[in-house]
Amino acid sequence: MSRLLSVVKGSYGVLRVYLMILVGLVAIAFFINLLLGIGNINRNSEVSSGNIVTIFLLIISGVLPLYFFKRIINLGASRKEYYFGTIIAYIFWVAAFSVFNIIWFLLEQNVFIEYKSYFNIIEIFGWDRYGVIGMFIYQFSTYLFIVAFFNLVFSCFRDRLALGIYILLAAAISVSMSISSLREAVFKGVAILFFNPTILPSTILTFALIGLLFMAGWFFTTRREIYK
Amino acid sequence: MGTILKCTNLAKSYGTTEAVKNIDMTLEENTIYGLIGRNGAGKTSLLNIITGSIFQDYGEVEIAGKKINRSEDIEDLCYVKEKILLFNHVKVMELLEIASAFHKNWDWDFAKDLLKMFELNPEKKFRQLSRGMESHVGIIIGLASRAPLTIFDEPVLGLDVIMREKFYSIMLEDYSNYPRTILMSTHLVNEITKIVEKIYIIDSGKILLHEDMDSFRNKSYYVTGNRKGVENFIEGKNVIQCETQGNIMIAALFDTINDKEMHNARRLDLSIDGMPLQKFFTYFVDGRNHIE
Amino acid sequence: MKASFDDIQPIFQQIADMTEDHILNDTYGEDEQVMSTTQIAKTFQINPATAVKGINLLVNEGILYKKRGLGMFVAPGAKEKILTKRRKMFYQEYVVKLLEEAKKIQLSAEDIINMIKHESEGY
Repeated sequence: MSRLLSVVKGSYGVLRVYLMILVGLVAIAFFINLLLGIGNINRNSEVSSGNIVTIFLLIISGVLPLYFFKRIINLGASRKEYYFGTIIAYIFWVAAFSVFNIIWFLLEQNVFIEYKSYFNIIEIFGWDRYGVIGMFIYQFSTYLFIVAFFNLVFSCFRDRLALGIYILLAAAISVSMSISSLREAVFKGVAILFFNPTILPSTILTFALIGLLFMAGWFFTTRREIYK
Repeated sequence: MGTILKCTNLAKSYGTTEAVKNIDMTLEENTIYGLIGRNGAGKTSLLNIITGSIFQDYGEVEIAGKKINRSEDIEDLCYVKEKILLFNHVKVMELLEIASAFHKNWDWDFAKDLLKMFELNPEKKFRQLSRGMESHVGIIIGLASRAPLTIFDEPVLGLDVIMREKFYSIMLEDYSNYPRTILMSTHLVNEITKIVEKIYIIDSGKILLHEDMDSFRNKSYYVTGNRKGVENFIEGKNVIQCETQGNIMIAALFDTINDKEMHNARRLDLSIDGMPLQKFFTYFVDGRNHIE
Repeated sequence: MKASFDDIQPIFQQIADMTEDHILNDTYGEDEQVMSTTQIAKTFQINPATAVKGINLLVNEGILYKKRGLGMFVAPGAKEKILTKRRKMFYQEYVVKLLEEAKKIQLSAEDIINMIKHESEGY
């Protein structure tokens, strides 16, 4: 267990700079806009800071497979420890940002609304229909899905086998987008996964896919070669 | 004595280049080994395969009796690469803390001593370190982990002569108190001749020779004298290099010379001197390349 | 004390010779502790297994003995043993070589004896 924790700790060591920069920039932008709102200079609606800061999740799903992987193995971790530790880190950050965005969303709805209105993903996708718990579940499963997806993309970065999969995927996406009946089916699928009013089945389905993505990521992680 | 590492018939190619060609290697417990070869001889490729960083095309690696596979942890191993990868923004101390979790024999007291001995400030961030100091971090991890199989790839590359001497002394002392197997690759051949117990010589992906240093000393000689005498003396012996200057001949031998032959040589007015490993290495590897 | 080693003899042999020299010149007396193999390894930067081999050579000849947990000590009568051994070697190692060299540079046995006499008077 302490070995996994060490992986998580190491990942934080690598990530904290990105987190600080991102939080700093978003906070500055937020306060400037809020002040403009209070001073009645600019009352246009803004994208929620709670959403912008969630970009961090995209950063970690790139930085961990691309930058952190070699380094932690260099220090003595096994691939398995790296991978499980990384998944723990993903789950932690996804949960943290889901909770943060809920708090932020409630603040926006109840406090900042006096001066400014915001677009928050929770409202746009209707994730607020089951209260706070619902907001968490919708966000958590959606964010984790995205993280698992990018984790896979970056874990098979240089793999020849993955190149084939990339090409197939790109072809499948462009074909399904250009044929209108297929396009509708794709949108329906996405809606079932992430915006479905019946929360339980869609969440279970999403988690099954997340599991699949992480398993595929593991497959490629065991194939990665570290030269330097 | 038990075996800590056993490689059988390892091979690895990158495209059409064969980096490792059918290598067999068996390392015993509690022994210091030197892996010597020129730059690009395949040292790092071999070590990367042994430690599971890259994968062999065929062949097997066993560490402490366990076959290594792609996912499992190699418990008894500590691998210090030639260049420890930069962990930007992480302090030296944090890095050691992370590394310590992965090594069951890690000794913190020793690690702290090492920090002092290598004049490293643990509060420094990794990006502020010089090339030499980065090497020191790798060396500290390699030594403090006290892993039953510790592998150093070119450990002294970024070190000045004082730090190199320090490293050898500290390693030898700690090894006496906590014996383990250390495999050290290097191209600084002369520096390790007294330090290692056994050597492996690698060139173009093949192990050319492995030998006990003591028995190596017992069979690597220069024979110098008048041409006829030397020619007579070296007949039937394994000569790896021969040079003639007028009537003088110098032959480099890789063969044993018994007492009677020694006596004979003296009578023939031939002088017999020991040959340093570096010279042997040069003749041996270079000579083979000419033949091939 | 010797600080470096030559290339012709195995290092463990040189370690043994060096320790014998220390006993001969009374650096180590009887029942006194000699350098541990760890100290030897560290001081001369040699492999500890080599140091152990050298010291064991002397243990086998009864020149050193081991006290469990304490280290290596000079055996009683060690100096005598070394003297006997070295005297035996002296003829082969020095006299024969001396005469060979003398022959090469055309010195007679008499010349050599005179030299020795002359040198000894200095002492």
